[in-house]
Amino acid sequence: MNKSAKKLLPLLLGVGLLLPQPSVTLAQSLEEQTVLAALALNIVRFTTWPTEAQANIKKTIDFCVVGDNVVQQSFASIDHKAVGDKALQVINLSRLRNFEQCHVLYVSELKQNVLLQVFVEIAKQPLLTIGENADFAVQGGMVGLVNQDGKLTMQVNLPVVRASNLNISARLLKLAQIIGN
Amino acid sequence: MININKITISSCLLVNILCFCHLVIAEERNEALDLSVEDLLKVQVTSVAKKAQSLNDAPAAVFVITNEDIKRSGATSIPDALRLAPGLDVARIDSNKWAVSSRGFNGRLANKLLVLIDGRSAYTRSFAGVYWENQDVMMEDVDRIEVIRGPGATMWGANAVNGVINIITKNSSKTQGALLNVGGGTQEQGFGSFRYGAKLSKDTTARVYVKGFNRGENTLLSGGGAGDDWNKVQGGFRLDSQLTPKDTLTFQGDIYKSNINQLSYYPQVTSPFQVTENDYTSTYGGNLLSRLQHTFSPTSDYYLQLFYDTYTRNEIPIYDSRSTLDVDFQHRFALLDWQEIIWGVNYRFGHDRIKANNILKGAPVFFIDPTSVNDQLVTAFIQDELTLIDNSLWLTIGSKFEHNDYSGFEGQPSARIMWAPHNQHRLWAGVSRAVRTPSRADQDLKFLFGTIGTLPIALWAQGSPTFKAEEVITYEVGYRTTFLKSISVDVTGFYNDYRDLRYAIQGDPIFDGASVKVPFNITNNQQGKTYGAEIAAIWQMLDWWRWDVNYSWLQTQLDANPFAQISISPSQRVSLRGALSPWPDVDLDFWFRYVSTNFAISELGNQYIKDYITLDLRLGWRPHKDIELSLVGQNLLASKHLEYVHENQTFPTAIDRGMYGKISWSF
Repeated sequence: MNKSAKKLLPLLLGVGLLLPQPSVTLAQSLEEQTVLAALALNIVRFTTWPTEAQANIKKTIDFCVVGDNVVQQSFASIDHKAVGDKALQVINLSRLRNFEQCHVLYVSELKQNVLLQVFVEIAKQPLLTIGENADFAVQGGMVGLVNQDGKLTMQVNLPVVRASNLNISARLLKLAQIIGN
Repeated sequence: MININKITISSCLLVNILCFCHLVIAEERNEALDLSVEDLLKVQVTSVAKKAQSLNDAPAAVFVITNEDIKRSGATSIPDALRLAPGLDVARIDSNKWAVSSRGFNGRLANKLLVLIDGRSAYTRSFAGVYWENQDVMMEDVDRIEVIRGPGATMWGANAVNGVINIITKNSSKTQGALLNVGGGTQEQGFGSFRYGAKLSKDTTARVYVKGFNRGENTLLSGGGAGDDWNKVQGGFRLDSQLTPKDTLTFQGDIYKSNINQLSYYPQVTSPFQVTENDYTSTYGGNLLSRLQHTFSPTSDYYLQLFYDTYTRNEIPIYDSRSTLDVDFQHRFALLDWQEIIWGVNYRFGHDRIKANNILKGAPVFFIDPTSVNDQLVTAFIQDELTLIDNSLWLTIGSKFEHNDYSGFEGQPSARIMWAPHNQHRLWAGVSRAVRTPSRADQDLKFLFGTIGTLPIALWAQGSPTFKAEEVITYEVGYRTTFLKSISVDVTGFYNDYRDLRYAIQGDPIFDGASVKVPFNITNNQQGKTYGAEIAAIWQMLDWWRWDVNYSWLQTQLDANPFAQISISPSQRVSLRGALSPWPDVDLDFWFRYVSTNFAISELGNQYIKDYITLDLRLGWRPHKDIELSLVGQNLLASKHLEYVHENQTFPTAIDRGMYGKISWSF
């Protein structure tokens, strides 16, 4: 091997590393539940809890998930992710009670009548609610993630968010469809 | 040497496990986490192998047929859509009759399967079974069909011996606007349906629909037209209202009328001992249902449901008319921090009128005494779901208690346990007892089912008031996994031990001047067992290509008796479906089905039905988001094939190949 070839080798390797690397591109489609989990993580990152509630948030932000095994599996991917100086902790709620242990409540699917009573039970608590149902935000949830023609859209019920003294960053709100006044 | 081998094997295993783990980790890494919110909202998302239903967490053999599954299967009737589920034996007898059962014992009036449409039972006490030709809904408005194999008696009620089919239509708030479907073809000669949904007030939505069809005749196995064409018109409504934040009201109803043709044969005690005629049947009926649901809290609610159902079948050999009034109350609540209790009570009142009709060319073959009865059924159930270890171990125990006018008191307990060692894996096991309670026909009907010779010897089946309930003890185990997100697998094994099954025993012959009458008296003298396995797998191979595969294996062993009187369902069934969407506005579906040989009891003698393989194809195209054109080919691999032979009255009829086109327009 001659000298010039030796010089070229690292260069070629470098280019090679740059080129064929499989990267996430927008042309590619992603599995819905994993995107929902990633979005939920981001929503938590853009949310500020009221000062008195922050006192209760020790080391972890407790993220409660109501959903079946497939949903639980997807949300396992955001467990222990950093949110500011805290870490997210995913809790799979098997029973619809003890909501006070949660800082975030993610509802994948619930019967309509039950969901409404969940909202009644946690009304005005500093508990961020995120859900998938198309009517989630309209019926009293805070952030609804709705699949419209294969893309997720975000709906935010601002009056409910404010009643709970939570604050969602304007940067996130800009990307959402606002429900309520 | 041995040690070295052991080490080699262990290292191979270790390497394999490591590779395996790597795959799992690779699968669980969430690529979406690398994206910004803006990008997450722009990315195209695809659904997992199956949008997992809450039923996936049930310790039972459950399969859910979704609205999308029905659409893409091209099925135009409820029984045809049920072919999508594993463990069900669906066979079309002719254009207007189906035999549907779960885990064996199939027949026109298969009696061990409970069918509910929006909470209303479609099971008739007259003959113990379901008149499938009477059951219809606007298929586009079906939310899902839950198919529960195995005893569902604790929660759902008697006669759910081998399964429950729960057809659930959409809430009217989900069917707003107009939908028009029009189509036609060779077997589905012409059909149309129209639904309109509107918001009546802030909290109330409603829909109305009307549908109709004309289905063509098939071909007799011996050749020639089977004369089994029929038509039907049906209409209905549903209203849903949120009375208060805690109270919802549902009010719905349907009305239908259908004209059924059939080529019938009847045994006769006089020459020529069998007559054949073209018969005409008129059936009509309707129902009204209201349900009030009150929700106290997320863990506690109750409902009160009331329904009235009536049908009349004026068929040439027999007239059967029945009205049912049913009141159902169910309450769910949490006890301590780890128990959920559901209990309920039900009262059902039935009034019937069943009588023999004269046949056109001979003497009546059916006799029923009394011709009209009122019957009552009272049931209560309680079920407790105990969470033994949070998110990983559950025990469900319960029992149903009922009293009916035919067999008195019946208890139907069940115990089930589910273990989730990891959120990708669910293992469950259960043991249950269930009963099939006697029907009116079992106790009060007498019919001529054959003659021998020219004297002749006349064979009569005779119901008996002493006939009691049939019983099963079922043992089941199951495993469900979504090991990889793109693949979900559900495996169930079962063993059923049956006692006191229906069996007619030959009585003493009597010479009545015209014939030697040989009675066959209905008794509970048949015992038997079945066992088998069902596998359902879904694989989302590509974003736009999904596979659905089901395999069902069934073994039926009946204790020896002088005459075979129970049909034996196919030992193997395979359903292989591919759903492709190569372009966003184009759907392509193919559906292969294999059914092994089966055995049917018939007045024409024992029938061995050959195994068959068939194929349905569907092409759908949406030139505009509100318009869909589709072309469906059904049973394409042969010009005709036999699926089942009716127990009596109609000749073996082969189902013809069919094609139809359909236009759907929503506005």
